[in-house]
Amino acid sequence: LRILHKAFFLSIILIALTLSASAEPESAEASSSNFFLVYNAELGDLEITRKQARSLFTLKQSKWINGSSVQVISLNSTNKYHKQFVEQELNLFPYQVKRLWARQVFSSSAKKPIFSEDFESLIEHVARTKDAIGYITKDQLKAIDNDKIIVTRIK
Amino acid sequence: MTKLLLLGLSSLLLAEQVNAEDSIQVNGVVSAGYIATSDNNFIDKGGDGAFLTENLLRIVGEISPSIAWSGQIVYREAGDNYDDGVRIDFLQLDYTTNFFDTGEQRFTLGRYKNRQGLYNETRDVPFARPSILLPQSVYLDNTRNFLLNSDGLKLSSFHPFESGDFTLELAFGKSSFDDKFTDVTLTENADGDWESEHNYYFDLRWESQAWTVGFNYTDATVEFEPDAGAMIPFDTGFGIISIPLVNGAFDTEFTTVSIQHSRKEWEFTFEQIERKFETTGFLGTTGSASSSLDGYYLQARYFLTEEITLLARYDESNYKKLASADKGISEAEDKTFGISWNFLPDWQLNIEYHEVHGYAWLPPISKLTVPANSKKDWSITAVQISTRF
Repeated sequence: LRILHKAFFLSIILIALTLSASAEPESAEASSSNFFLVYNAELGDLEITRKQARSLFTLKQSKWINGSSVQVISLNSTNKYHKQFVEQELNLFPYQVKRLWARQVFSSSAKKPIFSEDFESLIEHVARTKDAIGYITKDQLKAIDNDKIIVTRIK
Repeated sequence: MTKLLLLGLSSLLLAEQVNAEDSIQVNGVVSAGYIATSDNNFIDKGGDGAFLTENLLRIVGEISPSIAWSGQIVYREAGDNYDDGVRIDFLQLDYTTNFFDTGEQRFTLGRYKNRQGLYNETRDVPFARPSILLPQSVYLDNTRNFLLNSDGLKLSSFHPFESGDFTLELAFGKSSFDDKFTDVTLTENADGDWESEHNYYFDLRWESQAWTVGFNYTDATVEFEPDAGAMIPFDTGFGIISIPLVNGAFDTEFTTVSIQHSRKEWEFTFEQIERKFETTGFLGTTGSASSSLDGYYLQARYFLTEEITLLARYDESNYKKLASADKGISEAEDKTFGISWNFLPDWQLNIEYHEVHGYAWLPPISKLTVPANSKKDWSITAVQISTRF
């Protein structure tokens, strides 16, 4: 009877795996990206590659090149733009980023992300936090104060 | 009292909710729950269950651009086999540098978290684990002291690539123990002092969107010196008698392999462990005996909606080289079904049911003595509500 149980469980997992494998893979072309990175102007000019952006936003890279600690500013995890940014720009699923944040924060010296309700407050946070990085869409480009914030594309 | 103090401290710090300009950051988790068992001494001696409380408070700050400090205290209550109260989960100094163009290398000194498998380093953090009770095959609660945290030096090297991130960790330290370590490894009502001879590990991890693959090897030796008059029950074959407990040691090796596949709505996890125990002394014999407690689990998670995650898991453990005719002692199977609901952004409710066959993971884990009145078929139901700041 226990062998039957085991077989039942294994088949559920196998069926699920097959079903999920047949689903369309999620991906987005980098060129059609709607997102820009924004970081505090005190950090100076930086070239941020896709793998660096992923390292920064998953809290795995804790330091900027000048040695200061990275402070991620993000929209709330439930915000649709946050989910789009994570999937399109970081090539991760939002639930993976949530778990990585919890893991990095509660087992190391990583700084917890600061959450913003909307882009307006995210931009404000980046402007007044000297080690901060966040993201915006092109609709916010006009609202950027270039003395305080540097806008860049992921390279 | 300590609970009140901790609560007071956390509310004070909360009141001073750290703003973006501050270089000191404070975060935490507050949770409450209950673990009910149908039988057996896994959670409590009476076999009924116990309240589960897991509160964490973490502080992180900077000394200089390359040196950071951080510490985390945990207040945890989890039944009779866990030593309730506040403990230092980690308290460390990090020196971070980069020897290569990308990535980071970090030297951590102090009490650090041991990485093992996908979940060990955050096993007491409700928001960083898939279920209230982790699969016991790989994350046995009664051996948590071997792997929870260590005092020493840890080196981490992180390398990002286009397709994923590679991390290597090497650690040289000593394990820290709680006061229930004798109960869960040897026998109840026998006191003595435990000392960690060493706790070394090496861990490799690849993390990409679709695949996470990990390998961990941990070598830990712990030594025991009994208090005068400490006794242990011993089965002579003709009946159980009490004999004096003598000095002893566990020399353990843990080898863990992890594979996780992630899709948009599904996540599949397989992890396997081989645990070798070389047991020397304790019973007055000079020789040593080896045993192993191996296991694996298969887990599927389905992200039904943004807030609701369903979990199904099959978990199996085997205790080998055990001179016992009773198969129940050497095996355990756990079928788990669970649901996790993030009903508000920083709130989570977990409910789960475990149908268990066998008692390989019941304390004492050395199986030098056998728990009385153990039932082969039993169940665990657990519920927990958690919030974080």
